Amino acid sequence: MMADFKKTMLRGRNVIAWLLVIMMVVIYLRPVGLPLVVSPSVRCWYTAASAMSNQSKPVLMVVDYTVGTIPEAQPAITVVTKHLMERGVAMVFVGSGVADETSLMQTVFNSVGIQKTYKYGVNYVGIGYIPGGEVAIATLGLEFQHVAATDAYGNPTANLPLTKDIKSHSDFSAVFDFDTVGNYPLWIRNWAVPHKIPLYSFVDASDMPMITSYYSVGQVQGYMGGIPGAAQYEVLSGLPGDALKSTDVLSITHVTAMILVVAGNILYFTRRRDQKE
Amino acid sequence: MSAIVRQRLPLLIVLISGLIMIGEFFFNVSGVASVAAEVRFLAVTVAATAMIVAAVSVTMNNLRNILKRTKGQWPYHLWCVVLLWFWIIFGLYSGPTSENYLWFFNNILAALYASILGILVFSLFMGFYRSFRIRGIESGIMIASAFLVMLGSITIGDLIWPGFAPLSQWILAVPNAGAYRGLIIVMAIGLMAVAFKTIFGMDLSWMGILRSVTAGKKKEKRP
Amino acid sequence: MLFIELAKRGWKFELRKIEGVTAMEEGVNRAVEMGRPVHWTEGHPFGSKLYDSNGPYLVAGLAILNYVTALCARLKARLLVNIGHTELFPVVHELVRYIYVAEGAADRYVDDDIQLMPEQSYAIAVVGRMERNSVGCHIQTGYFWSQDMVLVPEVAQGIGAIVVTGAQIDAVPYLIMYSSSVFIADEFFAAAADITKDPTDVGGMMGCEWLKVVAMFLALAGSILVTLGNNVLLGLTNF
Repeated sequence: MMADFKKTMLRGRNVIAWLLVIMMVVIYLRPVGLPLVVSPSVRCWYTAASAMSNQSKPVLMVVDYTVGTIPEAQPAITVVTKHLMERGVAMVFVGSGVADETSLMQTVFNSVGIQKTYKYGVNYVGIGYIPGGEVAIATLGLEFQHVAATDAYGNPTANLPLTKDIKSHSDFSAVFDFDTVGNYPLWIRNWAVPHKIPLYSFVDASDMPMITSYYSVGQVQGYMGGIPGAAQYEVLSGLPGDALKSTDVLSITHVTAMILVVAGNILYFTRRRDQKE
Repeated sequence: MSAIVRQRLPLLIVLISGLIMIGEFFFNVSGVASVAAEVRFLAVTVAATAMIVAAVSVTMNNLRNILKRTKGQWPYHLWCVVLLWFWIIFGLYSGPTSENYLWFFNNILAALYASILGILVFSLFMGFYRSFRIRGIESGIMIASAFLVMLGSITIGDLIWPGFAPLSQWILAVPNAGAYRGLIIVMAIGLMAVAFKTIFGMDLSWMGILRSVTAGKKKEKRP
Repeated sequence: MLFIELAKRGWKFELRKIEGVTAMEEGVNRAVEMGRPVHWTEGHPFGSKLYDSNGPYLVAGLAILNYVTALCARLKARLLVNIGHTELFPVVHELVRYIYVAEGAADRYVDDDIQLMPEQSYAIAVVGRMERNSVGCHIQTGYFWSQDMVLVPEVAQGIGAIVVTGAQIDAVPYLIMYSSSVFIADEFFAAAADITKDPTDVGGMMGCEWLKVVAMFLALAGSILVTLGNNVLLGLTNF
């Protein structure tokens, strides 16, 4: 049985997995603290948020990530929320992707301690998840009160000081979208392009190639890509959090991937040469 | 009557709704705009109702396997139904923002789901190891650009050479964005064609009705 | 509409053979030889709904399911179907059952082979079912979310199945790594035309091809004009 166990553990796929786990654990326990380079897209977002104040129109914070992507998206929404709280900017939180977003929104409130500095209904409102996908996103910008008739706690939005005068997209200063479900094109199509509402989007790292094409033509004013993006925002805002802690692990996994690719190619060429001989 | 209700009525609803939304987008007529607003609101309501349908569908599907005592699987189907209704009742009773619900949400659901997504990284690495082979010039360029983009986005890359970050940004903003734009346009045209055929009733597969039953065979209409 | 009408009136349009369609035939044949089932799935419910803007991907996936089911019915391969979208479940049930009956294989249709996977656990449930049944050919066509693009085809490849995939554009780089064959971009929608040779599908594809030519011309003309300082084409988009 021991021989079978050893054979299984030392199989090619498992060796790679073990290598990765060991590298990640070592660097997580002994972080190196390497310096970060801030990308222009994150700087744009930070600059826009820094220009806002308690006199600005509220920001629509879109909680569009899922339970499984909490480690990636939550640091981003946490740091941006804290930054906006420092500036006194009002926020309306909404979700358009999955039903879990109401609970995720509440988790963000608890983790940033928003209740300690902000008054509910005056400085921030949590609408929660609104079903309907793109139709809901489009309708939210045209008839806000119709779609978001009540908040996540059952209070009519028409009775809350912050939302009672919100009718449409023009009552928001910007949309800050934290998205790992791939809904950002819907916000681009329905808010950013037709109504010229500034859109800043956090996306997971796999969506970065796509969102760059929207950013380069100005349909998205700024974006953050995955944990590196969130870490860069933390550096800019001076509010270190979970993203900065994860950048070393991220670096080491990238390096491991490159080592594996190089090793794989060396083996490939060696085998090809041996076959030719 | 049955054929009219099952086939013609849904097609008519899709056609009218589609034409209203297209009309609202292209023509600035106040009457169309208000009707379109109602259609949008109805769509949001139907989407909310779909969640109830989802819960019932999952229950019925799993109950079938439980009653049949499908070998080796029925306990899991039973567990699925029990958990589904536990979450629904618990969520309705305490609300999705209550402390108790959040405890279960963050400590059970979030942890389980994060572990499932954590498996992804191992799958990705197997893929890198297996498929990133320099078989020719194109694959060499692909691997080189992948390395450049990776080094540009991690902290170690900046230590090795500060130019990796701007180079990585250029790769993403110029060749990558150009290629993606082309593909986005192509996909958008394809999507438009499918949507067009759906609105005008030329594609009925979304209703489970086939225009042609099998590849290469003569077309048959469902009764 | 013009090209659909022309195709219905008998005009012949030549479409190139889509590699993914050939790969599906080979995959099903190989699964039959190995005595292993064929598996089809259509996507994560988080990423898309039948009634939203990603719905056409699911509709296009159904056209491919149509073809795969017919192949399996004819070649006597067992077909396992996993659905993530509850709104698609009754549609797929009817579709598969009808094709089996039409092919004269009603006795081989098994209701339990079509299963609905709950939302949160879709990917892991699909992976588990594939591994338990040791599928010989895995086909995933639809709209996929992150783990479906990586975990599902990777596991399928690991168990020795032929993997044929088709999805939205941002999934293609991942699917290429793990699949034997991928429907890239518009090939996904063209596959239905290649399979059925139906005038509506073929005519629709020809219309799309000409629209692409127009888009290419506009892009080229626009970039030259903007470089020369003329923004007339940009003004066309402001309506």
